[in-house]
Amino acid sequence: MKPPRRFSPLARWGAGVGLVVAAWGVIAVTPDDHFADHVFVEHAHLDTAVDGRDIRITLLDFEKAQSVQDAHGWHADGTWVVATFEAEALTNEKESNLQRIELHIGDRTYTPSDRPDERTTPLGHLAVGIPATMTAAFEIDADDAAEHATLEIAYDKIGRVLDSEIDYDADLAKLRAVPSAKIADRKWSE
Amino acid sequence: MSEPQRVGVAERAPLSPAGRPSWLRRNVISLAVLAVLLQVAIVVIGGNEWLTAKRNLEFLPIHVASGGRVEYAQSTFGPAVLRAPTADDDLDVPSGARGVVVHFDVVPGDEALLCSVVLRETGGSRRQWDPAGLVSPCQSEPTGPYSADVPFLLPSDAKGPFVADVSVSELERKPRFLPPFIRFSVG
Repeated sequence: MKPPRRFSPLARWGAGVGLVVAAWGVIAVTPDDHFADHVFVEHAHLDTAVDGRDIRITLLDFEKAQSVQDAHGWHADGTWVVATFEAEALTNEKESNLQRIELHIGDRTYTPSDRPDERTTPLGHLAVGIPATMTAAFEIDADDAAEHATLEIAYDKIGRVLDSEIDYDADLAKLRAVPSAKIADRKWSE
Repeated sequence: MSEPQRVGVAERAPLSPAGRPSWLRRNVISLAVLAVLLQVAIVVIGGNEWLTAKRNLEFLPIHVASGGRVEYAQSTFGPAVLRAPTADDDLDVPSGARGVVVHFDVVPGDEALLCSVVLRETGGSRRQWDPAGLVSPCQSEPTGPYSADVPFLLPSDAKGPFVADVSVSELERKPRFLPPFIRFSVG
């Protein structure tokens, strides 16, 4: 009868270290606990329609302005980032209520200003197949005007999970700056 | 040195393959139990699924063919048609869209109803539209039979066929276990 085969100390240590490295690798590639409910991010480009779940966004304009004005006589100076986009739902109007439009700069989150007339608001119901054009005006801190910014558009403001999110990245330092931007009322697209 | 005794080993000879009881015979009890358990599992799981499916039938709508009417929640609904909007409907139609109006008759029962209507494509991606503007199509205090007009804005590429789903608010449904809504074929 053959004696049981012996492995050299080198082989045994090698196998041990190999297993530790493999375990580390498994930990390294394991997604975090919230992986399963992350949003599905779609990246937008100017003048190009981008689709998510039950949402289609076409970003028409993204610019900086030192002053904004609506069509009802209101105007304000400041540091503004103005996003104009078309939005429509794709299949279902039951939950097509646009509630989350945010501009993220560093740790800060800006929401569209509610200072312009309420007829301009980009928040609200989206129609299936009939795009509407709307403007979100963000009044930002002057110190943020040269930072990197991300515009995020999604339906759900509260849950923020398992749904599409339309993102647009921009370097505010290189952004087109206009002295004055008009904030049009929310209306059906032409 | 003397040889170790091998007597015990020699006496265990019946373990040889030929003398062993067959696999079937050794496992006969387990197999009988398995046969019974398999049938029990099929009956229990299948029965459970069947009960669930039966319960879910309550979530299927009543289908009403074009021009038909139906008794529902002590009222009579239908017939329902899709018509073009008139000036009275006061519908502001954007370019690239068209307006339609779902028109249906209601003969109310003793209790007033609250209802809502959605318009749905039956083909393609089965898109679904809510009424244009805030409308409450059913009358809360009807004095007799009436018709409801519900305007919708559709994109011009929506060709149909369409169905109009009329649902009555849960509180008003009597008896409780009615199908959840009426689906009218409106062409």
